[in-house]
Amino acid sequence: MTRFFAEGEAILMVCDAEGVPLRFTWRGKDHTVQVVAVRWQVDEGWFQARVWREYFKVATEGHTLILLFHDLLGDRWYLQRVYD
Amino acid sequence: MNPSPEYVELHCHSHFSLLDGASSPETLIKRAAELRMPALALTDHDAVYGAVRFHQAAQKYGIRPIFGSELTLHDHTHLTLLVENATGWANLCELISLARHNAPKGQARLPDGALEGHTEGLIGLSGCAQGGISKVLRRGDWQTARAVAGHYREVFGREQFWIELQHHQHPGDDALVYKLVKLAEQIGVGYVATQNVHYAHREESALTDVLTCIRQGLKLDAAARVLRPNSEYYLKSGTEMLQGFREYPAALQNTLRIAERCQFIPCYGLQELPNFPIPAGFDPVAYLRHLCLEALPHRLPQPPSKTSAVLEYELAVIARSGLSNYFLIVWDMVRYAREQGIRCQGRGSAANSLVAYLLGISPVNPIAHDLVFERFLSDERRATPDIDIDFQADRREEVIQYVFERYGTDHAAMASTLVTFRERLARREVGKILGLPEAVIEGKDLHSSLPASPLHKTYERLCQAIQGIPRHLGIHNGGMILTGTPLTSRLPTEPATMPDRVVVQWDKESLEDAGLVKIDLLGLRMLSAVSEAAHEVGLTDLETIPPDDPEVYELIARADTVGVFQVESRAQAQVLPLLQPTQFEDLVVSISLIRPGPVQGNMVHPYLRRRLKLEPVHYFHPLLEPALRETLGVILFQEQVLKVARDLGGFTPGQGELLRRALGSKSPSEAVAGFEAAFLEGAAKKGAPLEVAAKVFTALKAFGGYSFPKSHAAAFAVLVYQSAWLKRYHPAAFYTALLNHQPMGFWSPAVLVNDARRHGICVLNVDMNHSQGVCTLEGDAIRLGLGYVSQVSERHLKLILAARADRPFTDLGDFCRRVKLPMRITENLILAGAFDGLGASRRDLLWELGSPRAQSDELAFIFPTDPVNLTAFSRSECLRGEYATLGLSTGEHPMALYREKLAALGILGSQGLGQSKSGSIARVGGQVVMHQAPPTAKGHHFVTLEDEDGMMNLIFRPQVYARFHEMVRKSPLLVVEGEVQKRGAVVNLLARRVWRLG
Repeated sequence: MTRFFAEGEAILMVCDAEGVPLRFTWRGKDHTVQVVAVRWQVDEGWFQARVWREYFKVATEGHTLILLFHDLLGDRWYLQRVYD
Repeated sequence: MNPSPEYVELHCHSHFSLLDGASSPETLIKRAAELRMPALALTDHDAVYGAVRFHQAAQKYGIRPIFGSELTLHDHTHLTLLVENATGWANLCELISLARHNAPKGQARLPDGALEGHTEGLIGLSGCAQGGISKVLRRGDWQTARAVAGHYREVFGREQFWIELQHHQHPGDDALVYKLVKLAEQIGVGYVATQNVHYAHREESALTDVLTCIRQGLKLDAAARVLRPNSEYYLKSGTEMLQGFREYPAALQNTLRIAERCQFIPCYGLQELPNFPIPAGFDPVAYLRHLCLEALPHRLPQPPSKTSAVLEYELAVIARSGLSNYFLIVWDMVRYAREQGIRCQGRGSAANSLVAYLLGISPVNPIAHDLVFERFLSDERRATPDIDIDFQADRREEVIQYVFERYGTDHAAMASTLVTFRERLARREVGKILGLPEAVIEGKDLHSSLPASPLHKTYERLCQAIQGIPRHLGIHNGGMILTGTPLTSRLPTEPATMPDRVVVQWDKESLEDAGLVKIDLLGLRMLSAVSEAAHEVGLTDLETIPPDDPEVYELIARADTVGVFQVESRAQAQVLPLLQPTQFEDLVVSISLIRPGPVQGNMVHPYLRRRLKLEPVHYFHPLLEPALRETLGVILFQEQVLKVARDLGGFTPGQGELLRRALGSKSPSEAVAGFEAAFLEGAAKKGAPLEVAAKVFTALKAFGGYSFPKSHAAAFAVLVYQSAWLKRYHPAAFYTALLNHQPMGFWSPAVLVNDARRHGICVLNVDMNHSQGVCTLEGDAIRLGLGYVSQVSERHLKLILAARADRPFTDLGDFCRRVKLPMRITENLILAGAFDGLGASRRDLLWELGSPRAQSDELAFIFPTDPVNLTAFSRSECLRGEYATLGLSTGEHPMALYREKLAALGILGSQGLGQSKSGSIARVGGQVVMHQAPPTAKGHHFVTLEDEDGMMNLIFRPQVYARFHEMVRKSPLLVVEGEVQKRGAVVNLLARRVWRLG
């Protein structure tokens, strides 16, 4: 079972100098990123509504696998999926 | 902060990866310079189309260009090739050619096994995600990946083959890079990072999506599976590249090592041509001399005293330049054409050469016309000069075939031309992939809400951005390349659309910039027309017609020049009556005068004023008189730059030519700087005051970009005279030939037909039982050909003529039974009047055509139909049908229908206008036959009206045109009020009001 947020849940993010997530706050709770398993970018749909995001699949210190994305157009961070 | 790691991009596509890459080579180089890259590679798909432009841009920005290509292999996988040295370039050209000739036009596929033996001097990189190794590794097939990598290592050599790592921020990229590095380590080769660049800046990624959709014929919203998932394929700095290769710093460092090894720059200059086979006992120099001496008595029966000195001088310069063989090759083409009865003549600067005249390449005797050989060739500039030859258009292909046969497709090819997106094509193709309605694309849906929408803004932005990007490769009109060594070792070739036709991968500009000789075999329809007319009147050699016939010059001087080569335009008709040409040199001036250059350079009016003695002829310095006397002190010809530089600046003619080239260069101020001091110094030595010399040099600079060689005008003037002579003495044959070689010239066939009739020639309409396919002479009259009827093809003509050969057609039913034509073709023939001779009215025939018909193999059988009483078409209805199907009418002029009514209203025709007083206000009526708004006219529009008796020239000032433009553009018949302006025999009406007629 995973929990999926189609639009993403807004989060507060602290990154390193190269934009890699270090820790974030979701629904008032802090999470520390232990490792970034994989990261990738999408940039598509520019002819209708552009989606330009960098995705990070991370493992937190609480041993949760989480999918985050950085909306590069609005410079905001979102949580999209929690893998239970 | 750490300094940016050094990085060179070794895998980069420009927009010469057709419908894939988005940026020009110049943009990529500029970006590389901004990123401080010491070098950049260009690796377009199976092509080096952009190599010359890339090289030039790289020179400008001080970056070392690396040449290469991404080659498509037999299994559709890709391989990146980089050129280390000249052998590598030859191998790359060979491989691309092999791949191109092994696939349909526009595609490439290297035959299996063809890589072996062609890798020396090339560095192979394992390619993108489509590379043979990455492709199998992505599906986890380690064994195959290893085998493929091992194979490449053997084919290229351990030092020459590198595993290519790419990271575009896709989910699987980390893993793929890891595996590729491991593979490289296992097989003992290096690895290197590349970016597979498809655009210089991230913002251009949308454009590559557009290009991909156009290539694939998909709409954007249905193309997700073929579009790149992100915008990461741009040219990146070392720092940006580091993100994907932090674990593998050697991948970035190796780009520099490889770049350092690729030092090759293509350098051609004087190329070696095929050796022209010459008789024993001669070498090319001696044989050329022999041919010239042999031709001398025929071409110059009474040679001027300096002939021999001029000839020896030219032959010596040609020999020193190593170009004797080149002249023999060109001579051979002309010789072949003449033997086959194909009219031809050289144009351009070649006509400055006596050798070219003697060999029959040029029609102009340069001594008689005081031409300057150094404009063509000199010791100072030993580049191979281009020789352009016009052949009669309908038979040019025979000459091209001859050249291919003589030298073989291994040594001969046509130049290519890259068809780029222009506004119309851009709007259509971009609109289509955005899914816009046709009406919006065509600009007809003006009331749509689209203009305000974001989609429309995107559309407009993309239409702008895509313009200038090449879309596909075409074949150059007539530019041929010949080489002694096989072409494919110097330049890649590929098949053209035309069967068995081969093109090289460089266009005209690239070939010229690289210094490769191109021989232009051009098609000129006027040569075809002149040839046909001469043949019709039994003249085998037009060169023998009297050279200075006053009646021919009278015809030209009264601007009775509709149909005459080069001097028939509205602008020429305005100048000729003022110029009053009486000799050949006047024709040369007239041709040179009405050109955008002299018009923009303000040379026309000073010349005309001096010619009409309205202002005195003035020379900046008496030393300039010999050079400028022929043009009354105005600089009009390129050759005069050489003469002025010689007579005042003390330059040699060769130095003068270098100066002329500098004046005409893209950035003249830079190029000219060095010459100015030398010119002023030379002038001082000749005793010219500094301020006078400076003034002359300023005049030369102003002239610079607008120049036109006299030799070119002189070669064209030969054809002006010949065509005018034919019009004067054999007008029916001349008009017939003109009608048979359309489209050409300034006027439509309708105007030609009306002009013929004004000259008392009867023009007979198409007739099913009398017309041939083409227009013919019927006694003294011209009979229009059936081919003039809209949509009637060669095949239709054959059917008609074959059936008629049995017996003439008796009626429409007989025609339909014996010639099976689509109904719309027969309808066009009826509307054109082709069946008028059979007795029935056109309306009755159309009615009959709609009735059921018997098959040809059935008995003629009349189906019973209800009798109808149809009124025949009115004259204006007939006219409308004729214009719709023939584009002209042989009946009375449309204006004749209105003549009485117009006369009653005091509206004049062309005769009346001619008799009006200058300054008076007149109203005229006529049919619009020409509408021009040349860029040099600053918003003025020129419209020509025609009636039964002649033409009327209207001038619209910008504000008047703005008010009446709808009417002027859309109405075929107009009444115009304006002020009559007369200057000698030239009459214009300065328009101020317009009405629609009819």
